[in-house]
Amino acid sequence: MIELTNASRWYGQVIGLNDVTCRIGPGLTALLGMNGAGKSTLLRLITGQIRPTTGEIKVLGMEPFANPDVYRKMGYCPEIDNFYEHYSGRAFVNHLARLSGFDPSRAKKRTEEVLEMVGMSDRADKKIAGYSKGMRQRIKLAQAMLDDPDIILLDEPLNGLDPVGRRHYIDLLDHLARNGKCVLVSSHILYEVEQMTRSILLLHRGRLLAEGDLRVIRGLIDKHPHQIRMETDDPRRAAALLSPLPNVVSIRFERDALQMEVREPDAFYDLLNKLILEDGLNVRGFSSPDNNLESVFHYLVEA
Amino acid sequence: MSAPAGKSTSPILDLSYRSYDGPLDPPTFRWWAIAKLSMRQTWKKKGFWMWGLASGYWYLILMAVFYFADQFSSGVRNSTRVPSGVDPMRAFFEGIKWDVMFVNAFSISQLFLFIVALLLGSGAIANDNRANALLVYLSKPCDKKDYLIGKWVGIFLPIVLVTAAPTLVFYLYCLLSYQQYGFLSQDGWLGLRLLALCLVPGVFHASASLGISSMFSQARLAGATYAAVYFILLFFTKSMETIYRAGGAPNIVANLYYASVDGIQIGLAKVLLTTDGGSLFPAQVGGSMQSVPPAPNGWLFAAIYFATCLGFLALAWKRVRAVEVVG
Amino acid sequence: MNAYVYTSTLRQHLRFSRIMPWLVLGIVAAVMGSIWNRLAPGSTDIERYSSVSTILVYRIMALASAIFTTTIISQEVEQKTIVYLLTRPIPRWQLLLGRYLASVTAVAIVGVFAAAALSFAVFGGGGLSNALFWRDCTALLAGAFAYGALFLLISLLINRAMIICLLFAFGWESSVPQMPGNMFRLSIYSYLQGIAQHPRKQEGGISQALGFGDGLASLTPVGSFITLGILVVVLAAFCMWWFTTFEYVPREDAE
Repeated sequence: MIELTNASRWYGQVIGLNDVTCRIGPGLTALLGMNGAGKSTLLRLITGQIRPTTGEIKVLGMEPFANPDVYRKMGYCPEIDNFYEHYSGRAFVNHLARLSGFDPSRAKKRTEEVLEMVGMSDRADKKIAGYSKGMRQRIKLAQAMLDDPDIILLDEPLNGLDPVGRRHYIDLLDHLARNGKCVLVSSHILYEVEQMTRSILLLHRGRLLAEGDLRVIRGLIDKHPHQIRMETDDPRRAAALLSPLPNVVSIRFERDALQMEVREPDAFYDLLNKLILEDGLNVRGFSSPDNNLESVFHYLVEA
Repeated sequence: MSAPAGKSTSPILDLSYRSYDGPLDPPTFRWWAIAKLSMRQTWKKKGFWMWGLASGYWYLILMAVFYFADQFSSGVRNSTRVPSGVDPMRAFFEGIKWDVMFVNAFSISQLFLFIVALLLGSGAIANDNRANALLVYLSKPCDKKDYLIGKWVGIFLPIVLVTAAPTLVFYLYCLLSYQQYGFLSQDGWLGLRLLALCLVPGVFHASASLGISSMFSQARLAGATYAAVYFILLFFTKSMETIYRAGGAPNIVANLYYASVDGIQIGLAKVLLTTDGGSLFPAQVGGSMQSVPPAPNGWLFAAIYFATCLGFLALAWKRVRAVEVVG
Repeated sequence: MNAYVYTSTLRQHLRFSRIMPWLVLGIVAAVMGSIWNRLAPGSTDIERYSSVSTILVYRIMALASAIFTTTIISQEVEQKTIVYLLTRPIPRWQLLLGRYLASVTAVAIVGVFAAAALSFAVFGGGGLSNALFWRDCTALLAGAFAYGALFLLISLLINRAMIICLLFAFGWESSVPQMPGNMFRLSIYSYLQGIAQHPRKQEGGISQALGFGDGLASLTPVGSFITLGILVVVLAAFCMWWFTTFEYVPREDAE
């Protein structure tokens, strides 16, 4: 649905996006990166607000810049927190529906539907100036969904939301993704992104560092052996059994546990099973502290 | 690190209030920190330098005219083909009223000084409103007085600089070159009067800018409002001048000539330089002064000027509050 | 065309809080007209109307045009709401044209109100039957289009458009008509006076002080209309092309 081919974007002497090639299809994809990585630049390129300096971008096979045909199928929820503050939420969404070409009755109907979807039906008559941050985020999502778009782009949508609001928002995005829509979410709240999706696009200093499934990416980072923490009643016996294994890089003793670094974790787990079953290795608990998005992020960024 | 003997080992530290006991600048310098910040931003603006330099263009023209007139006169005096004692430019120079030169140059620079004031002042408080920076300022040990004085000085000083620089350069040039034509003898106090004159636009524009800027959260709207007031009143007073010159107009017309942003400053300039103003080069119009509205009553006018400035500052005082601006 | 763009923008411009200052200025023009006799004794009703119209009404219209036109795009960029407009499924040129026409309408309403208020103040009950008033209305409408197109172009090209627009409206438009030769042809105000055909005062009077040069007598209403029409069409078309082609993103700085 979204294709970038060697897309770069310069702001004067500063490079915002550097030779990015990727494809984004249906489902929920997270766009990750530190501040200044190029996330907003990428979103602006996809939403046709700016053009790439070099390379190409296609959304549904069309160039997005100032292209109403693309906008009919795309909804954008910007990061900015600016509205027409004198409007109520309902009036704001209705206004944008009318601007999209809806006739008055259809605009009214669709406004109610999207407000219901984001849980703002009962609060949409207050002026936006008096809204909380969470309410403002919901209104932004509501206006993005007016055209029932195939592609929804959200720039830092979870900013300022309380935990309950975030949960509801994430569920809504998940629902949209399951219905076949392409949902691209830009965020740097890693533990929440992890709850949303495993499909990531990781940007760093304008370059695309990784694209795809989180677990697969983690498995491919050979430079950083996987960390595994094993709780056991007899750490020394466990260490004696585990240290000859070829995948084990290092073992560190903690009070009732072993902190290990291993390569090829899948092969290690197969061997570990044998040890538990045949050699009676006692294991009380098991965890992988760096098998998460934050660790992947740090490993890739440091590389 | 282990806790000292007798102290609690709780991970939650002592959260009781502790007074800051480090060094503190005296309160008198807080406003200066704000003023310095404003001025640092001012020096970076190309528009400030461009319009500021342009405000002195009339002084450059005057200097050029006087220089070449003097050179011509000197050439004639030294010529052997002209009878000695003939000085064609003497009458020109002796006809010059030096205070009128300064009043006229001051009048001509008003539009440029207004533009400088717009550039510096329209966003002074409006931008802080928009960014909710007032919450930050006024949550520090910095009160409204420090904030307003700092902002005021941050506009006042740059405007005084662009007013004073060409004025004093021209004064110095004339002092060194034209004393023989009565530059110092016409008014020995002219230098001091000019120093006071240089403060007039700074005080007015700084006060007006702050007052108007405090009413808005967008610099553009504040600037548009000040510009609207300036230009509409300017045209009104221009027409008053024309009616006055046509003759037969009631006295109020002469006073209404000063009822504008430019007019109030020009009026005070006339009061300070003790002149009614006049034509640029009276010798060229047959020696007679083109009729201009006379200088207003000094004390009354100064009172009106300061009352206007204080009115704007009172408006700014009322509007500046540490309240979050939403949208 | 999406007429909603036009109607929604016009509704925003005509909100009471926005339009009220202009109505007050119109009333100021009326007050000036009614007291003008005391300031310039001996002037006829036509002279009173012409003088105040020249001093105030046309300036109000130019000022309104500078302020309303710069809100079309500049304000949206400054308050960062332009992203909502640019990501709507509506061609950019339609968006710009609708908003431009709405601002022209608002400016024309402001100008005509000021002229009407002045006309009533000077001519009393016969204010609306005065030919000079109707010529002024025509000129004010033409001025709204012409100034609007020019200021729109300036606001698309330059960051600090407001100052440039105001300097043009009050600096250029005052001094250029008085310049020798054919320089007056470079001023929109000259063509508006060509349409309005205000009677000229004597040499050295207000006419000359406020922008009526010798050449204005050569400008006919038809010629002025044609010139302004060409100007509006060319500028507006260029603006629509520019807006469709170039990027507009919210500015990060506050000023």
